[in-house]
Amino acid sequence: MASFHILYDEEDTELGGYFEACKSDLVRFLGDNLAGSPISELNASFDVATLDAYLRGINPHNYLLIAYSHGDDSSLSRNGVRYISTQTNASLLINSLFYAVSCLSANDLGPEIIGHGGHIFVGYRRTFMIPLDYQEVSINCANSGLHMFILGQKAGVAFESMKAFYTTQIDRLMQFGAIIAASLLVDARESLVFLGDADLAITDFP
Amino acid sequence: MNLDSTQIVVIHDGLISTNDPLLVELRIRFGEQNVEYFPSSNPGLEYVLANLSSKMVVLLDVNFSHGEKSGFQVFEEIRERTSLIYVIMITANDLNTLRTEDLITLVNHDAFAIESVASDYIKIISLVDKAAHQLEVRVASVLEQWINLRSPDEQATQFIMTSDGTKYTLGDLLGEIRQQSEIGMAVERNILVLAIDLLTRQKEKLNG
Repeated sequence: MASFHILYDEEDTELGGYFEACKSDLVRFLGDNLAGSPISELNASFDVATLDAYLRGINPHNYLLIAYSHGDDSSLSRNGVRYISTQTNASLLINSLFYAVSCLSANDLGPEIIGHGGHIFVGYRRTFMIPLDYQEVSINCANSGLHMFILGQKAGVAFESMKAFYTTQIDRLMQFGAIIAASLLVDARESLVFLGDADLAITDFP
Repeated sequence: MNLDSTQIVVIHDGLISTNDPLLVELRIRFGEQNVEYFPSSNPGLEYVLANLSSKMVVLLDVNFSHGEKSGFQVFEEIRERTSLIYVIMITANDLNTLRTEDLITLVNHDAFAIESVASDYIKIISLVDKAAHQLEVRVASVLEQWINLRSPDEQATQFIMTSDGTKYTLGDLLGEIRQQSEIGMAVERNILVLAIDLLTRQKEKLNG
């Protein structure tokens, strides 16, 4: 059964609540649809050395890693500390399917991880904004690709389903006249990047 | 004030309020109620700054009497508050005599045009027409109008949060759009992309 390793920064003063809500949504979805699958939650208390050791322990085999935190072109960060970076430990993400709900990380970090033997990277190439009245919609969109992958779609198909889900939610928001919120989802959808092997499925991550 | 109408504000000390051909023609084209004339720069500036929410084209003289703000000062003060108003500078001077730094200011702060008042009025009217049309189709202007049509409560509600945690109300966004700040331009761009997305998919439906 696939193991899920979830990094999230619940202590971030600005977006901690959003990151934690994303994590909780995923855990809930797994409980409902893939009961019994091992879930490791790594919250803001981990340090980089511990994380590196942790990754070395799981990376000989295929694994699923999801991160909800701040990011930039080349790294993910927590409290100003880069915990995954092109400069240090991107190579440890060999054999991973890595989904990063983080600004900008699809630009340099994603390609670096794939270059080091990561199977799949999904992330965003721009900064994103969150519609405060529609945070739940934003979270559902952010996790929708994972949901589809968990339910059995191959990675590439799940990614397309994710974009389609975004589109559905955009149309819903437009029905409510929530133009700006809809425009933020369009921007997030257009910012999405998929790298790696589109034919992998959850059964390839035992 | 009708938000759908473009206001033409003429700030110029050399026109005759009642029957100057330029003003007469503007009133015919844009409607009597949509053309405001100020022979002094200070009240003209006050009017512009008090009506930032309307679509507006300003015809602005360069030179005013001693004690009045110059046209360049008025232009800069408008630009400190908004980038969404089009300003056409007009001057009786030879354009070649204008100071380089003033011209640089006009270019850097996106003056719509500078024209010699010696030009026939048709040319100036044509510039106003062009500016008014561009205002009509400018995304930021349309968005500004949309925000202005929300209720005060809606405008005061926190609406979006950026990745650095800054929260913006619609009113805040309006200010950012007027200033053409990074967030203001991002919102503008996102709306444009949304519009294209919706139109493109509608086209698919029609074809399908």
